[in-house]
Amino acid sequence: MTAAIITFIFLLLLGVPIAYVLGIVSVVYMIVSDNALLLMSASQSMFSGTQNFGLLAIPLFVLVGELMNSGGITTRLIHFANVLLGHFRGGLAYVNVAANMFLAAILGSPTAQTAMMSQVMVPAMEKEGYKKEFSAALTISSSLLAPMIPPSLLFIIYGVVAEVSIAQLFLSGILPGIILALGMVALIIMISIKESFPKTERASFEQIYKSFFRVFPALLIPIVILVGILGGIFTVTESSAVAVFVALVVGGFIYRELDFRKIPKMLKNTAINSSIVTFIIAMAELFGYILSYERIPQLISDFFVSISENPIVFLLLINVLFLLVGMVMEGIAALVILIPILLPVAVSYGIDPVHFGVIACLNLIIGLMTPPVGINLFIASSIAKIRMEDVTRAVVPFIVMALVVLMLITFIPSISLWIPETFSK
Amino acid sequence: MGKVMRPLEKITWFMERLTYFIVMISLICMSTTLILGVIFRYVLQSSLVGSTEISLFLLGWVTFLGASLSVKNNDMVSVTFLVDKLGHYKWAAKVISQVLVLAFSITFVIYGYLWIVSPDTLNAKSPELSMPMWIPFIVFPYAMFINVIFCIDNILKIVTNRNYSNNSLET
Amino acid sequence: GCGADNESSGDSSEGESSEEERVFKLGHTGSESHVWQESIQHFDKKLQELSDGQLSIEIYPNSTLGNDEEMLQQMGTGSLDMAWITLAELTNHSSSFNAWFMPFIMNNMDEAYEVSKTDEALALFDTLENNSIQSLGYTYIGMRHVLMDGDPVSDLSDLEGNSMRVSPSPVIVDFWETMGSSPTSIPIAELYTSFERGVIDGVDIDLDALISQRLNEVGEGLTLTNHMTFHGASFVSDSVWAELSEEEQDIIQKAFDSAQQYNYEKSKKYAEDNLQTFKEEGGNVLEEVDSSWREGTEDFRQKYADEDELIKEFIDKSMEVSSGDE
Ligand code: NA
Ligand code: NA
Repeated sequence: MTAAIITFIFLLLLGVPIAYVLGIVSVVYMIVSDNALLLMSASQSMFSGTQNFGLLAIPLFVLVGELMNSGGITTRLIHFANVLLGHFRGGLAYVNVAANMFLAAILGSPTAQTAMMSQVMVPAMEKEGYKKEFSAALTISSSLLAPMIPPSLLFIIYGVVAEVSIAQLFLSGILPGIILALGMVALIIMISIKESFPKTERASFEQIYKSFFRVFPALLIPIVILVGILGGIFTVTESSAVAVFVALVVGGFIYRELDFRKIPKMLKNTAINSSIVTFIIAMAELFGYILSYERIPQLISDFFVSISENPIVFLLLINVLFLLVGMVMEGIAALVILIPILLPVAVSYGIDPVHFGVIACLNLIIGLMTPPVGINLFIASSIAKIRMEDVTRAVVPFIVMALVVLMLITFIPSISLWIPETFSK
Repeated sequence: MGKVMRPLEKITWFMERLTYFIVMISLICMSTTLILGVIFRYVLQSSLVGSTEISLFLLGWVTFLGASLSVKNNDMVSVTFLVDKLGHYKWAAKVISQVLVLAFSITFVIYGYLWIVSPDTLNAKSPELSMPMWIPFIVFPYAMFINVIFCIDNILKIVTNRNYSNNSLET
Repeated sequence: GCGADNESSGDSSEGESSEEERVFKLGHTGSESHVWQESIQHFDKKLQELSDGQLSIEIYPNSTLGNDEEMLQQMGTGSLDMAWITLAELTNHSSSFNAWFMPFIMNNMDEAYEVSKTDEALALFDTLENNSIQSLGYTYIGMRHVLMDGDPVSDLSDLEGNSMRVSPSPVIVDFWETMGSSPTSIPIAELYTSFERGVIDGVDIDLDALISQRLNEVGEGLTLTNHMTFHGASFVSDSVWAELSEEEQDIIQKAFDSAQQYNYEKSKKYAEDNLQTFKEEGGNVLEEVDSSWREGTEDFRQKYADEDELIKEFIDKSMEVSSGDE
């Protein structure tokens, strides 16, 4: 195992693409540990890693982003938001949070949301004079709202694995989601004092009215999605394909800005940008298999559990454990492996399973933006064309803010439990 | 070097175009299948059997073929702060990195092939459409195979251009 | 099998003697609270007892070593020692396993247990010759029923025109289409919300999944149709099996037989508990369906029986078992 860790760090620093670092380390481990037989089934593991219905939303929402950009949808949305919020210092930064919050009510996947918003918001913010790194970091952290505001694929998976009510979990995420959004706003205010963020003239009522009229067809996308999902017409994943269709119609036939000859180019960009993510997930499946095969998650949790009997110490340790795991593992895989082991322990400490679910999910989505394996970092840096290190540096204040919110949620259970307890039978 | 480069460049060019084409078709089919699935269920009150399966298989295709195109274009995410400090020897790090990806890809051309031709796979059918499983799976060894070509092409280009520019691949 | 030849030197401990302790890696797709987990723990306990601690099992639940497809592949190559696999996956490898998905040929778990021991049921395993695996026997999860968002269905014709979530297996899909409903294969992770919002009207499900997926929160009308069983099977990799002495093979089989019985008894108890939970939380239950359901599905069974002699024999046998009990 030590050999595997050293290889991992060495390859990473050598500049080997991260997906291949995961793959090569797994292969090296199989050979060194006398398990070369595992190579026979490794191909199947990698392919199966991509066979997850929820992942379909990733390429499709990247494509939505491409279509929105080329079809003049994005510019109209940004224009409208700017007319409303642009006269505040850092207006477009608030627009980013607000738009993510709105999307979170439609989507359940932070990775899909990062893919879409990196495509849309980062270039727009850059154009307005924001630093690219800050814009990407803000986009990454705002996407954390996706699984906290219902619907949420992560909560569904937790509910299924932990056998806890999914409806209750959905309700329990609302308040933490709002607090997270407020934390983001507070951080923008703090940063905007330090660096002088752009702002524009206050818009007249006529300008707002005109801008709204222009943006209205674009708003059809979230409206169709929302009505479709809430009305039981399609599932969350299917909604991403419907969104592609609506974006095509709005950009191509209503705004008439979409150049259909450019569609092959958009499809090409979509394939490359989304495969970077899904290929990492395929490789992470192989890597995760090695971890499971060696029972690493169980060893780690056994160790933590043996340390203390105090629930507060336990929760702190759990947070540390989840954050460490979240650094190197994909959230859903970590959830599926760790929850069945840790939840019974948590319950024995007297912790509410719904509360525990919120803690676990927030931890693992923070893991999406922590290096070395932070899927959202990868997406944002590849789509927005920024170096990983630069995004990582810019995302640090947001991680700190998210950790503060995590602490609040950990030690004040009623933030998570108040809404479900009030609204359930 | 030139004698090797010319035909290799042609093969690379052809493979890249072919892969782009397959990936585009896959993405179009993926969105269409999902939408048709919704129309069948909601509007026609019947079911389009296999829509989930087809779209998932296509996701596998887009993933592995798209990843190969990223190898071709050097678009993969990596940590570069240390490599950037190497100055003149940056090309060496790039070659090592490409060689490792090449070794990985060769390994899985072989094991991917063995996987496809194993009786386990050859006799397996997909659950919804009863499609032979080697059809969706074949993309994996294929993608690894074009990786091999792209990597060799990349390595030759890095070595040839090492004295002129450190950023030959980015341009 | 063919996977065994090239890597027989892989485990250095094997050649020496049976004095060495042998720990088998066993994977399954159930959770840690699934009845399979408990049954495999029982398997392990029996195995240790019978072998004086020489043989034991290390369990990998929750698909941690991969899904059914991956685990079959791994057993074929010899990198995984054992696995419990669902029969739905096996139908992708041999269509004869469709026999277990014939509707209304068993009325309850006791009959299912009896059928699983018959030669006709065991003969199905012979069709898996390509997979390089050795079967130990069937394992069990539950009987399948129908849960609707509104009132429970009471007549076979009530199924018509409803959008049903079913497992994505051709024979199950075929059954529901024949019944006039539109079967959809919503992934399990999206099942709850899709059912809640009415993307689907009902689900074809066993009681364990019904309660553990929390579907009792969204579906109110349960009909105990017992229309199909939900089975799996226990396998050992051929290459692992070939390395064991006859005595060891015998011990494994004995330990499994004990685990199998334990598995059925526990499943039966949990089914009762889960039904109780469903009722307590306000669910509406129609306890049984009349013989018109069995009669109305005759053509469907006949179609499969005509295609495969093994399926025909299986149906005949299980009809014989179930009529004998009445
Ligand atoms: Na959400
Ligand atoms: Na991380």
